[in-house]
Amino acid sequence: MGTHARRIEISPVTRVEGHGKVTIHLDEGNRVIDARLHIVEFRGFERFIQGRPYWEMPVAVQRLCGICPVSHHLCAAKAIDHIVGGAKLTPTAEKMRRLMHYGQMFQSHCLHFFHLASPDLLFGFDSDPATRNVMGIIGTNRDLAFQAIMMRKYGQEIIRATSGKKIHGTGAIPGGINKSLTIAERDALLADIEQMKKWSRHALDLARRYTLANIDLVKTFASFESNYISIVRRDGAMDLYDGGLRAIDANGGPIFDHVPNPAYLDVIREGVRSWSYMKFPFIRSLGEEAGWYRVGPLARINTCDYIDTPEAEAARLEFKALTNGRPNHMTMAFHWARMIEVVHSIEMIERLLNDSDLQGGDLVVSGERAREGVGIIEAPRGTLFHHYRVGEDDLVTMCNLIVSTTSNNEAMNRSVRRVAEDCLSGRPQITEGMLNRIEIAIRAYDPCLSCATHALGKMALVAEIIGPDGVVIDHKVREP
Amino acid sequence: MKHAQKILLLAMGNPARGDDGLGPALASHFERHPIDGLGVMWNYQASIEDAADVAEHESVIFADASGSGAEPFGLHRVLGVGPRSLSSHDVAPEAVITLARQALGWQGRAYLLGIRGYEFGSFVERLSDRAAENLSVAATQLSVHIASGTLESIVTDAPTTTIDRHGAPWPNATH
Repeated sequence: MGTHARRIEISPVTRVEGHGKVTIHLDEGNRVIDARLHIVEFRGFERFIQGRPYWEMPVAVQRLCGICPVSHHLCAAKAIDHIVGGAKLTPTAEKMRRLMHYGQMFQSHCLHFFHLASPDLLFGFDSDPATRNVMGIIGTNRDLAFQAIMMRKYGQEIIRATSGKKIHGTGAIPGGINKSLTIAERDALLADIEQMKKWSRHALDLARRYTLANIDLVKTFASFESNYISIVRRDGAMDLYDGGLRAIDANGGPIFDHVPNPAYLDVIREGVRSWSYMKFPFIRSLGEEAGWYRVGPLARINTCDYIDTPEAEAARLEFKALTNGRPNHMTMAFHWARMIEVVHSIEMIERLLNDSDLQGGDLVVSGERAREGVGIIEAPRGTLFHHYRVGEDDLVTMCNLIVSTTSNNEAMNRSVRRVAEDCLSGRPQITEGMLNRIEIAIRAYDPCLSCATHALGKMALVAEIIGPDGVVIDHKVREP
Repeated sequence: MKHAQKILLLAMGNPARGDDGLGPALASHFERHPIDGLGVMWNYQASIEDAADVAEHESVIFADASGSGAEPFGLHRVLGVGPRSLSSHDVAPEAVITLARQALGWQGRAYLLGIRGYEFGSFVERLSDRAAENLSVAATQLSVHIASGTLESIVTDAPTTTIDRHGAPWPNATH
């Protein structure tokens, strides 16, 4: 860096889940030299659960997050299923877990879209920050705010009915589930299903219309070509709960396909960098430089061959038509893809609620004990990996977690850099709107920085411009 | 809107963090000793969708541990103020109330009960002796005043702070 270089810091980033900060290094001409998303707290789960009994994992590991504990709960349970020889679940157990998972997907996506992302989309990137927030949404569109609350509540009620609690439930156990769904629980959830479907269609339409109305912006904002990873069903359909690993390149060509969960280390590796507590996963065959990839709703729509529910499939086809069937690399298209998954989730929830297997009594299986188990699931933010090794004494000896936000680490950094170069580079003054663009790029991924590092806390935005001598020459603060 | 129960006790806290478990302990008390007209919920923290539960009641009492408030407890009115950002990791009672009022049209009363705790830093699933005593007094007083419809009579004007899961002060929780 030149002697007149300066650094801009956004810390913490707002309207995302968890703590992070952005630093932007400028040269003497205010041109961007580098831009990075830093994860500022350390996750210790992989280490401190060593020595704990394996059966605690589905309950213990979900504690690293308050927003997507269900994903960790189920992913850990899937891994531990292998330890107890119970990977082939009973129909009741698998469908209860799936119902829990789709409830989680539904509430998480709704929370992100309505409460965190929609102010930017509805009011504009440069709108008044005093109203560019959830209160602004309530003030201008009370119906939307009402829907947001009720959709989130619906998803949480599904989680409660399947796992016992809205947060940190205990439903999934090694080899199965500890309860089935009562008729009363089923009927209570079915009573609202039509309303939820209607609101889901509305949310999808909002995201779709935003994308199409702003296509010139969406095509370029924070965007770039990348590889994509997700799990898919054996026939190539989107499957958020179970499937083999598929990776495609920027042209949609296969990198690997239907890789069994236990073989994930054959195709995925994790890199580290000195300036972040988050790891940088990459596709092993492509190497660390070229092998980074994206996960999450955009990746899943790009990788799957089709969606096994009619309304979501129709939406997917329209989404794919935008890029003539090729992978969609538009970072802001995450929002549209996310709402397609909301529609898919509510369709799956309806299908499952009408399945009498949910009232079955055969809940748990077990078999030959194993020393190692891998579970992979599609969490709201993307592919989630849990890997455990267990000793003869039933205590965990090794744990490896690759959470969705970690997989998107390189991509988020590239999005930050792209926006910094496009919006800040060479500008004499840094405005709030410019800083918001950086955050908008990060928000599109719906990162859970808590998951990625186990961080929790309040979030304000602080931007500092630091001169070459370390002195702060400009300082901006925006409360959450 | 029809109210199934008149008052909702919405307790918050982490039972595995010492006195941060005061809220859940109070909820547990009222689940074991139910009062007519009192609905009880507890969670680690308030959530956005709690607004919908609040809107089904005439009044809500958010119950939480207090790190520096009155002993043995303080009961304060909560006014909704505009949260500018929400996340599932951090939702204050005011945010829930604001959502209930502005998005759901709720017009009820909201209170924050801060039960004084002392030990928040350690990973222990028990209350300190002094916190347990405060819990007992709070439960007794609340029982009496909910049953007699005189809750308003024990509202104090003094400000308090509540404690989040890390034991850090949570300023401006009440008005």
